[in-house]
Amino acid sequence: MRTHASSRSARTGVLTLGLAALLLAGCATVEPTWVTDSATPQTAKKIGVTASVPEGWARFTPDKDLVMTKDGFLLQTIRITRRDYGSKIENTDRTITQGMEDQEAAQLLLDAFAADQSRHNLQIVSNTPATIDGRPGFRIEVTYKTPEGLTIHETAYVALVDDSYVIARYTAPDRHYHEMHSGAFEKVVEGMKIGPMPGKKG
Amino acid sequence: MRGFPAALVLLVLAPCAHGAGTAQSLVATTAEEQGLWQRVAEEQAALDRSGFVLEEPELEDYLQAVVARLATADGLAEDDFSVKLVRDPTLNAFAYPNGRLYIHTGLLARMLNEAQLASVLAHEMTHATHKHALKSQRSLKTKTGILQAISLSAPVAGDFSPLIDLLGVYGTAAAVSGYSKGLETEADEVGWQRMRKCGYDTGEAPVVFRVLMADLSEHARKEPFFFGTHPKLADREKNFARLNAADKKHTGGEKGEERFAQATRRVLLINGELEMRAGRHDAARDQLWRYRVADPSSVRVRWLIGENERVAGAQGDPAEARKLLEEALAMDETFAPAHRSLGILLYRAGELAAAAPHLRRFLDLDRTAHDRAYIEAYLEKCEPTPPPAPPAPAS
Repeated sequence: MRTHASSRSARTGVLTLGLAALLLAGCATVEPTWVTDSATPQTAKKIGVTASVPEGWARFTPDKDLVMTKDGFLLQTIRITRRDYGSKIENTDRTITQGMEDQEAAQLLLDAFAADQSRHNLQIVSNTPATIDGRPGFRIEVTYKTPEGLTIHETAYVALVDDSYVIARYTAPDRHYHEMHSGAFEKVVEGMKIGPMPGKKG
Repeated sequence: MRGFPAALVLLVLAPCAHGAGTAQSLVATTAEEQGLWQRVAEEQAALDRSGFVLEEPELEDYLQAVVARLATADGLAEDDFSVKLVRDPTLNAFAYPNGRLYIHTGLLARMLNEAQLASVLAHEMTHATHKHALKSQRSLKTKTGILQAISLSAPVAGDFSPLIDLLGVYGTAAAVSGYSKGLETEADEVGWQRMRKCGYDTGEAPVVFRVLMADLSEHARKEPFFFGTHPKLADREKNFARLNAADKKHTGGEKGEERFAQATRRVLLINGELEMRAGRHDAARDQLWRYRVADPSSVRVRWLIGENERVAGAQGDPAEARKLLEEALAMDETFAPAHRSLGILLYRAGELAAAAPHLRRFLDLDRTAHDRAYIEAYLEKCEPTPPPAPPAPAS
């Protein structure tokens, strides 16, 4: 579609500039690299989370989060992040707070997803309690369409840790890609180790 | 007209003095303008299938009737304009150059009468009739220029790409940046004249902008849109007040309060829930109570008011939540969401024996609930499985 292609190209320009800035900034510190070693668990030191890179996948570094893909971020992405309780969640004035019930935190995230203007026609596939590295949490699974009409399938695990919460998300096009790699994502979450949040007193 | 009662449509249209002669149509006259219309039609199509545009035929018919009244009074072809409602609690309304207007539920929910609605719609229609998008496009040259203008003019810093995903580049520019001060003033002046020709009370035009400014201040809210921005609202209020002051023949005009309240009351229910889910509990409380006054027999609004008090945390009132949820169930014992809310409220208050029947009833009534597994886990804690009985001694 002409308009979306146009807006995409404009956004691509912005993204390219952003990436260039990121790369330039990176030159001053550590050069970004792809880590493909699936035998050695990878730790994102800034968030104190360790996970293994699935075989044939690569982790993009440096990054404060753990970000992995096999064929490129548009085709499948695993992103593990950590957030402070009380930090702002986009598209809502609500926050996940310490001691919040798993059901309530899950509903909050689903409400935020539903209000996200990038996620068209959001459908909830499943929403269940889960245990991640022995921590209480939940697993939510949704599908939505991009403005271009591509259906995306997203699975997210959220671990409610003492000092913060950890989100592991797997995003891929619904058709073909999501199912093909969902097993790899589940294994990443199964082996994920959550340490104390660096810089916080345990 | 589909669902909106024909009699009410006639009531909206009745006071309208038709413009003389043949109705003037919105037409893209040049190749440049035709290209712009084609691009915005694509943006509209994407927005319309996004799931964010409400399908409420009665409401749409009412909005359409107000636009038709404004159009015909000024000799414009009423079919050139259409209005759609966007499910979003923020303050926003905008027009595409081809006459399609969008208004957010959040903006409509804060209005009090039809004259206030007409002031916003008449302003937006002028952007289309006076080709403001085309004029702005010429000054900005490229879409990159438009994107830069959005970032520079936006009242809050941030990433506008999700918004562009929904509204498109031209929609976002109209909704966030608006147009130059001169073009916005022209939209106020022409809009005011259209209101007046229709017999609306132009005194309500500055009032609606004062209401919106007070709402933003009261909740210390920062929104990205033109109508969610204090200085832009102040400009509108000032312009409309100036026009009213200069109008010596001003005789009041029609406010259309009852008709507006009747036609738009569902917006209070829909938007009140959106406010609650966005964590804007005060706004939710205000809109849901207004709906309850308009529809005292509604079970759903009792549940929503109760749920809002339940999820509001320190800002909420658990006792009020319990009362309203019990009221809702007294009116309709089969209303599953109220069982869920009351069960969770009692569970978290440690009243496990009282929570159990509500959690169980919820599971019985809503077999496809996405959060079923949590409720089952709560229920297990409320009704722990008794340990197996010891085997009977062998005789």
